[in-house]
Amino acid sequence: MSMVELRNVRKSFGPVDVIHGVDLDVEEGEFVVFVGPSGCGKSTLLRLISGLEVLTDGELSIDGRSMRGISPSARQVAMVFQSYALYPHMTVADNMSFALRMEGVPRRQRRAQVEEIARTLRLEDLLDRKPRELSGGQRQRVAIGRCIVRKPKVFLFDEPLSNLDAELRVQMRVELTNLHRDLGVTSIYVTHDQIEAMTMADRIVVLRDGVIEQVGTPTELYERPGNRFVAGFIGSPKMNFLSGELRELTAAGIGVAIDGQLGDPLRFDCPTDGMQVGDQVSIGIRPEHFVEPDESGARLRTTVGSVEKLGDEAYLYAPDNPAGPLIVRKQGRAAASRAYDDIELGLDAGLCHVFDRNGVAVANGGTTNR
Amino acid sequence: MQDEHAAIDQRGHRMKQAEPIEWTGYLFVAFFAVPFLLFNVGPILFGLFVSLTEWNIIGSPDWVGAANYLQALSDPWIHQAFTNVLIYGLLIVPGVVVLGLGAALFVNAGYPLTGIARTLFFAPHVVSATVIGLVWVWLLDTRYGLINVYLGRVGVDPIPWLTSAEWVIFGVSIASVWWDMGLAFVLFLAALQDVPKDLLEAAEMDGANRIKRFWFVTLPLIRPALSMVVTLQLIATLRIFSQVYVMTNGGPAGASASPIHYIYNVAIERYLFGYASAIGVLLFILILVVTLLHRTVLRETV
Repeated sequence: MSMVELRNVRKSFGPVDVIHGVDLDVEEGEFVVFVGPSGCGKSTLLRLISGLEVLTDGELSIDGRSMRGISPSARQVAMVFQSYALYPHMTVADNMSFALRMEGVPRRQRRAQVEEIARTLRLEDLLDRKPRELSGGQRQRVAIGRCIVRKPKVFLFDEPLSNLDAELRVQMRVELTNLHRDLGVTSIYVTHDQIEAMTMADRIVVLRDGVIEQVGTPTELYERPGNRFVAGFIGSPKMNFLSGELRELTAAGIGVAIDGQLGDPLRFDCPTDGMQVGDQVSIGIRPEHFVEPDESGARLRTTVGSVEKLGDEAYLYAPDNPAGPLIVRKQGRAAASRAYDDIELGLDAGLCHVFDRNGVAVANGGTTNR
Repeated sequence: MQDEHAAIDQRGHRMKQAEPIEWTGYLFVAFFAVPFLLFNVGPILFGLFVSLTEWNIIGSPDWVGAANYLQALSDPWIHQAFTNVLIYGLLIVPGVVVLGLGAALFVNAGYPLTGIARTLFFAPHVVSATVIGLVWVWLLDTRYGLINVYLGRVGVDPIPWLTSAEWVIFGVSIASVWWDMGLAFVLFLAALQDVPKDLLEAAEMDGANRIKRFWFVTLPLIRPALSMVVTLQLIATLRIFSQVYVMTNGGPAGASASPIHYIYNVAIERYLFGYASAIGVLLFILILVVTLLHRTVLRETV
């Protein structure tokens, strides 16, 4: 039995439909990340699970119990807010023990529980401070501590790291992952940052316009994106999408060529229903997936527009490439390209993705020609 | 720039001139400063002086030292007026706070028609106290007033709101609360709208019901506004005059008189300006003490 089950969940705000029928199972102990651009409904979905919003339609159950008509505090879920939502007039200890106080737990017992959790979160010296006397990272830990105190079945995180600076964000990411490993509590985490999603998630749920685009492990989403949206959203810098054409059609698969491509077509084993030679396709290649060109192999020729050097690697930008703008990651000595250089990029079908006119992935990784 | 301001004195030393005075700045300040000095600071100092004299506005004041103050301390009318004003404070301040906060909570909850409610709650405040007073004299009329008519329907005998010594302070207070509530309402509403929604949601998830959320989260967060409303209302109430003047003229038998009303009588009707000024100073001291007391109790921190 799943810890959190969503069945055909819908949510409308007045005439505006925000969530259009979502089905999802979150297993016990899993760390699931909802990711998507702003306005995709990921926070709304989280708030539906928390009970702060009420479902317009569908079914939601937590630990096998239907959540229909169950108040947020009775759902055994705890939430970390983007703003931390610490009570500014209360000390750290009072913030952390507020839920226990509402439950009627005696003061001494509250203090003991809070102190125990404060130790694991390295907050024991801060218990008598007010939130405004804490740094961003400390506030974050208090917000998490406040959740842990309640011993919830599910942790909900609503973009908890977005108010922190870049360095602290990386640090907190690791801390949260470790915390999840230690506590083993089912966690649902909302972010628009795909790096957070990739690094922390057991499974990622990619949302767009209130619909789940794809659910899978970070590796699955990276290697086998179901459509152009997911392919473009996961990975940084973004996957390149180059226009191309279907050149070969056999029983076993297809051969496609990027506009302006040199050498053999890129061949993929895949179902070919409804495809015709001459179909326009989009070929996706991640910036890190270009290879050294060889003389007869598939390759692209393009002119570098600008270069970003990051030490041992560099990003080459070719905005005027005829088949579509390109970003290429080069490593080591190959990173020495400069603006206005003409370069040749090798293509390995094994690292390419093909999307049809509707953006649906036809093939993820073809016959490697290396 | 410095060289432009440097001049050479008789012994040939360069000496730095003072920065030129920015007359434009003073001009801007003057728009406030001159009227303030003329109409606030001046009269206060003059009033202090007059309180130590006997003066009927014509002729020059005769110095009498502390005689006015000594007389005031044994004047039964003053005891009555100062007692009355404390009772007004005990009725009007809590009334304004509770009703103003209640109205603000109602509007802030965003029920239907709250837009109209917002206007209605604030409307009395823009009407002059004289109008409010006259309307309430009519509403509170013992025999024909609407209030007694409605009370009569639920079986309450007519209450002599403005004509008996026992009830008159309540009558005037009701009108005052209705008039003053508007400002408190607006201040509370602004404070409530500043309470982050996240905090209330966090409290909801922490298991706090509506009342506990108000008590443990909202109320502490609007404390600065609460403190301000109490301060403003205390001062306004201690200076209560228009309602008293219009509704009862201090009667019956001084039962609704306030210090300002008594000062008005002493000064304008009896031309005892020295004595009136002394009472004014005493009232000032009372307001100062009450405000300081209250500020130490309700410190303006979240």
